[in-house]
Amino acid sequence: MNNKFFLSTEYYNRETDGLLLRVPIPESIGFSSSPLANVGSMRNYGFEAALGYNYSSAKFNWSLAGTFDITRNEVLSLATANATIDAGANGDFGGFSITRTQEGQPIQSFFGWQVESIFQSQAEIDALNDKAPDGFYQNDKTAPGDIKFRDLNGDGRVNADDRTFLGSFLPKFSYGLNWDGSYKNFDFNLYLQGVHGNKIYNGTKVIGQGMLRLFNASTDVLDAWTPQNTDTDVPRAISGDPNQNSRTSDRFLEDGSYLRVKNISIGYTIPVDKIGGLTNNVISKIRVYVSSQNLLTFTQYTGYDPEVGSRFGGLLTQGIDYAQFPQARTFTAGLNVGF
Amino acid sequence: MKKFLIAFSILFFGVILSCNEEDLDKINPNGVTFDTFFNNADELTSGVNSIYALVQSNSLVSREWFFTHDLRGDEMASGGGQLETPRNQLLIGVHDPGNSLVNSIWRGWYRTIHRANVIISKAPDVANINDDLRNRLLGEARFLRAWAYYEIATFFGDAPIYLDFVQTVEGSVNRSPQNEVYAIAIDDLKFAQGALPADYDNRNKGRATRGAAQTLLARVYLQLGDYNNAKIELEKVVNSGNYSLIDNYLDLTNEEGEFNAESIFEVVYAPSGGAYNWGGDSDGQAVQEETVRTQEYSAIGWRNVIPSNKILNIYERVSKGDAKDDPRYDFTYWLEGDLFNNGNSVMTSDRIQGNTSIVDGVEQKVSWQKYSVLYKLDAGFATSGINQRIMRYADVLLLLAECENELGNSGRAIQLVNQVRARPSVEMPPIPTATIPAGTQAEIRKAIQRERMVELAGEQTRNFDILRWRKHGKLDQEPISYFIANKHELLPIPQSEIDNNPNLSQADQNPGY
Repeated sequence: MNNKFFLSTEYYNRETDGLLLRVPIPESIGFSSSPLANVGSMRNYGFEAALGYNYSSAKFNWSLAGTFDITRNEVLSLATANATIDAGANGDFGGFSITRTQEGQPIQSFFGWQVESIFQSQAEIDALNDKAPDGFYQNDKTAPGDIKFRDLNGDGRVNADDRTFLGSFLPKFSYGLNWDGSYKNFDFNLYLQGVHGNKIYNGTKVIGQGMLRLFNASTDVLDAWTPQNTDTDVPRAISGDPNQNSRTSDRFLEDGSYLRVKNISIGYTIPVDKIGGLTNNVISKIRVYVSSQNLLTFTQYTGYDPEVGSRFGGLLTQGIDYAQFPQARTFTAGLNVGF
Repeated sequence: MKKFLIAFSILFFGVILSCNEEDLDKINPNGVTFDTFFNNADELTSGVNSIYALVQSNSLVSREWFFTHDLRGDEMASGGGQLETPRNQLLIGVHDPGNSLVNSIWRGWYRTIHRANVIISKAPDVANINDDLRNRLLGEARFLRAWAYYEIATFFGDAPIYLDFVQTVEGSVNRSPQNEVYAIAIDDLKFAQGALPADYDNRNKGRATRGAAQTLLARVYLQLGDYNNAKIELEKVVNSGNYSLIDNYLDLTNEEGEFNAESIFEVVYAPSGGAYNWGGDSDGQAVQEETVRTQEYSAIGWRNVIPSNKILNIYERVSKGDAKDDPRYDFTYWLEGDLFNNGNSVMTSDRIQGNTSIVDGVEQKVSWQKYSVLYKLDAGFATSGINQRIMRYADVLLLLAECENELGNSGRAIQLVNQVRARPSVEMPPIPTATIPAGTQAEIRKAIQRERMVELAGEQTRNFDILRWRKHGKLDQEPISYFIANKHELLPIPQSEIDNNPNLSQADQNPGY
């Protein structure tokens, strides 16, 4: 095939022992920070493939390369006191921790409550309160327009025991496609990259839709539940969020899949034989080009940027979008001159 | 004292990881460990200073502590939508186990306990120290531990007790009954009042004194409803002759009046003009030498909380049939049109953001003046170094009045209340008055409760007062509008504690959460 095609595939299964993590400590023991220790082991396994094609002719040369990557992660053991590590709690983002690391689950899986519906009437709340052991399904201030969270253990009330694993920041698969080459004096590059099936905890939405502060609300709140506007998933506007509608829950968890044009560029090189004589051979090469990074992004994610960076620097908080500064879309026009 | 409150907290943040091979147990000659520190008087003193540094921190007195006390009482109302949700949730009684203030209080006091426990464990073995100093430092550590356990037991009820410092992450324990937690505080304070001096030289002001230990012990007894023992402690403070009421009420909460004759215990901050350290949690990273109290409640600043209509309308007023307007009203609050900034600025309505109050039927903007640094400057943003007064003599007199009344000595109870009312800048007529009867034990009780609310407004005593009066059946009517029995007596145990302490589960959470 004249080396036109190439293909590589790889399967891997790697166990990591002695994961160095911050051991969670009960605050009551009074330590100012938790120690790092080798507390866990995990397994990463998956499949990687790369496929390429090269084309060559007198005027037109290009190569196309695609990558495809499936990775799965599982925590195999965790030697902390409660066999869990929670992370991500922040007073401005609901107060509760957002991820939990636990044996049998992917590392730092999202962990919280599940939204069932929005209460439409006081009768609906009263009926649940009547069956609740403490007299309240959620609490005494729950009112129509508040979120009804799922009572997962069926004990008639919603409390910390009704939290569950909600998904992972790890994609089901990721992929990339790179195409570059030249046609006559033109050169070009196109790089597409994407992930699929990951979750993002959209803190931007906690800020924008949670109505926790006087400022920074998004236009989502215009669709807040009212007795006249009942067909909505935005709960009622109420000072102090008495029902804790903004607690860690799948309300703020979104599909983080995206396909992004990471890089696109096109250039034109003025042939040497045309300019060499004009400049007394001082200039040997001139190339003009235009390029753009992050030109287009295809995603359902509603935060600023599905490629979530890190903020606050904590471990085990990947995939939590604490309203990080998004990546810029850049346009560049340039001139390369060789002497 | 201020200058050398340096946190040696790096020490407390080193934690020994478990490792069985003794060969690996090398001591880092450049680092500080529990085993290599505490060799002499200076090092033990530094260790004690680091406990005070925690009390000063963000998690406690410079921010979340005064907020938690104030929001849990009935003296506060929301200044407007600018009040952050976790604080608003405490104010309206819908806080959950993820509440960040509740977390801070728990964390701050347990770190205090941990550091005190280090001193209590290590002090007996320190060489090169005279026994009086050793004893005093031990007394300070046990005073601070007692304060922490008293606050923990009152806020949270049953709570983990640690009497030795925890050395491994596996060292956590289950909750013990509230009375056992109080018993630790009582034991510590009995020791402390024998070990602590009556006063200090100027460099060391701010350290716990004998009078502070006695006053705190009386507060613990009162939470338990033990008026006899509380009275014994309060009498010691009165009979010591070390304290008296000062003339000028304003000096009780301004910077120039720090450590006056009425002051029994203060949490110390550096002179105003420095900067509030937002990360100042004394956790080995940064300490706190200013307080944000003035800004949080500031009339022309954030104004996150304002006085409740209830407290504003409790003051004696000629318009309500009283003989005199209570001057403490003007001393405690900024009113529209007030002069501030040493008389150079006028507090006009347009400079004050947020909600209004209704006083005497008139809608107006009223803001907290106590602990406000605006009396000497004009700034929309200002933090301050005003020391937080934790205990003062007027509080002692009113607590003693309460004990006397409960024990049947109504004459002395009335006399003590009137002593506080006769302060030269206040000079309110003695009770009984036309609107404050004092003929029966119940009437005197009500008069004392009223006087405490007025005299100690905004000084972090109201919340715990309400808790003990409710617990011992001393309230005419429930003062907290949102109160639900079997829930709001206590704060929730922080969810992170339940999630990370293997001895606790959701079943151990306080009722209603």
